Amino acid sequence: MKGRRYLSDRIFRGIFLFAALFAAAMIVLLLVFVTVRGIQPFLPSYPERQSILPFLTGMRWRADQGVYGVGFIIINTLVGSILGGLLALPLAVLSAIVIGRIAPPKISQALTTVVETLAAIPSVVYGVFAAGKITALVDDIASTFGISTYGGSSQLAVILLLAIMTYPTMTSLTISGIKAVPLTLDSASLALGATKMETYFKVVIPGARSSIFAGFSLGLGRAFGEATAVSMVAGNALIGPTTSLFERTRTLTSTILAGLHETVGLDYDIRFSVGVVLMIIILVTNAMIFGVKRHFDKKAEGK
Amino acid sequence: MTNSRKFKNFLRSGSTLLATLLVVFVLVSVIAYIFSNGWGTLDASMFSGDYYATNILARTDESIEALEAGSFDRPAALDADIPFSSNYGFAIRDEVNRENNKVQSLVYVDPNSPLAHNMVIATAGNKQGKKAPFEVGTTLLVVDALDLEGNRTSHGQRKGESAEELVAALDETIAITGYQSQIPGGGIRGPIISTLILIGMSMLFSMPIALSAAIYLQRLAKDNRFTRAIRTSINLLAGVPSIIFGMMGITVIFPIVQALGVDGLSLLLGSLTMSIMLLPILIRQSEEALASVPPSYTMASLALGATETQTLFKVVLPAALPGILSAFLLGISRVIGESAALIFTIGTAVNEAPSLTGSGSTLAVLIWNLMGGETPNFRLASAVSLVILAIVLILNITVKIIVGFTRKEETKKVF
Repeated sequence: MKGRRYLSDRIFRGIFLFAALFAAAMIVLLLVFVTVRGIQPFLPSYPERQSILPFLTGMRWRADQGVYGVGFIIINTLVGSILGGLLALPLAVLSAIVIGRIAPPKISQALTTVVETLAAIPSVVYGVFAAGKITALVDDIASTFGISTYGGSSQLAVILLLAIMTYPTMTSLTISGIKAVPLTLDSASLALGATKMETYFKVVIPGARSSIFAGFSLGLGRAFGEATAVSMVAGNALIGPTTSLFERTRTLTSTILAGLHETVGLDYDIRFSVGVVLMIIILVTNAMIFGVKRHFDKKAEGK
Repeated sequence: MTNSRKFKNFLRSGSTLLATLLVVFVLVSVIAYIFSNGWGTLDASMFSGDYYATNILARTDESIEALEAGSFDRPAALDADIPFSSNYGFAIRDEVNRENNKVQSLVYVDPNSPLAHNMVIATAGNKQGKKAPFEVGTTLLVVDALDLEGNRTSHGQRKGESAEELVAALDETIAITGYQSQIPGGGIRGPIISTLILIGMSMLFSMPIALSAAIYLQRLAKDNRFTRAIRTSINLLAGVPSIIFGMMGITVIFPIVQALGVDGLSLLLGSLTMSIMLLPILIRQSEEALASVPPSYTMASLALGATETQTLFKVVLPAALPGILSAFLLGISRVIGESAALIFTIGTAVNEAPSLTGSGSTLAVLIWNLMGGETPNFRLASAVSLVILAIVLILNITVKIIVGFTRKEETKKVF
């Protein structure tokens, strides 16, 4: 497209480019500034200097005693989020198959609306639901085993809540993956004598593998970062790691939000350090999931 | 077919059905829970009322020593089990209010009741000396009266009496000298205004940048390493948890806002933070909107001699308007539901008269606030959740309708 360029065109091109650069620069600003703030408490110049190793491996978080250890919090966060994600994954895949292949158009549309509505519900609303209903359910389950809980605030409550909250993300990606599997593959499988169900489970779902992985990693990202709803049911255990499903837990996000009053001092600054840990965990998990996906892709190619 | 194949088929179809039913069940139970807990608390006064209760100390005005008892008739419409004071003409009952406190609130006040006319506010402040509100909905804490011998006595909730005991005791008195009451809180007018300010400012900052970036990426950018780097950065931003955005607000935007003369947590800080958080989703949606405009439109416009800028503003953007509107509405619903980033940037205390430069609490942050502490207030939290849920669902349905409508229009154009 060569030709006369008007001044206005050039000005607007410049503005649009600047806006795109601005948006892209934000992630850099975010990573740099939050990280710099997060490592402050470990620098020699900090008045109540913390040591980095006890912080990362510590199994106690007693803000009242000035003891900050995120070791068990990392474990609890990983366990809660991954179990929640794994609970949501089969539900997401199975219901996506219904929406993408099995159900007639009208029902499929209605079910899509259900998934979209679940995605649209704000996390605080899930939090109210979880604090009212899920904790009561957990308490009931625990009492049938003869275990008492802290009003239902527990690792299990966090897992159930995160399963519900990660489900829509996983499902919408899986649906688009399933819809992208060409129908000719279905026909081929059916022509070879496979039943419809066998086709869905052995042809369509493996065909949507990469979307399922993408959905799972996005869902996990959401689970790790989910803050307000989780902090309503976590119960904020002081020591850990939490070994029983019915015991209280503490996640990185619930730690960041717990008792947020002052905006100065170590108790405030250390929250940024926890935030840095959270970002690292999300990055590492995503990289790992990407690695697993590459492994599966290679295996599929080898076939 | 072998039996084991049949059995596997049965298991597979059964599991898909079960999974789907379970998902529908979860959605229904979330909505049903919020609705059943919140609906009873929801009323018109909640939307206009103050969040914090106001205490009132009332005494008789200068002209008289005490309000003498009269004789009032019980209104026929009043339920028989609600205590009615025939001496002073009001009905009162025991309730649990929005703030989850046990109170005794007025359910009826006779138009001629002396308490409704001859009492003034004695609490120091700008309302001192004004007529004290003795209206339906006000809660009575304690009433000072003169008994049959003319001795001072006090009755009411603060004295450990039920509404019935209060009325019975008052009907044994000859005059009232004063009372303490409370205009109940739990209103969400302040948080509603905060939410509106936040929506307005976030979209004002975010939408122009997002739309410009989308125009660049969709129409101008070449497919090269530079463009891919920009896209990757924006996608990475989309994966950042909202609580980290709150931290970004404190570390990056706070100094900027401070330089502008706004100190401390403020709605301005919150809306700038939100506007960055919204960028990825708004850019993606706007790009989709622009992509839906057929390239033939652009070519036709350019062929007619219009400049690039004219084509963009007079042909492409109007054609992409429904999609851009969808992006706008989705952005709004994000702001309404956001809590974690805002807890860091706007604070959690409710502000009755919020301003851009002051702190405040939006509806979503208010819910978080209500659920914290030793005794979470489920009823008010559910009522506010119900409000948020209704707005968010309406916005999403509107987006669906817009998208569906434009799809239909497009099909019409093709055929």
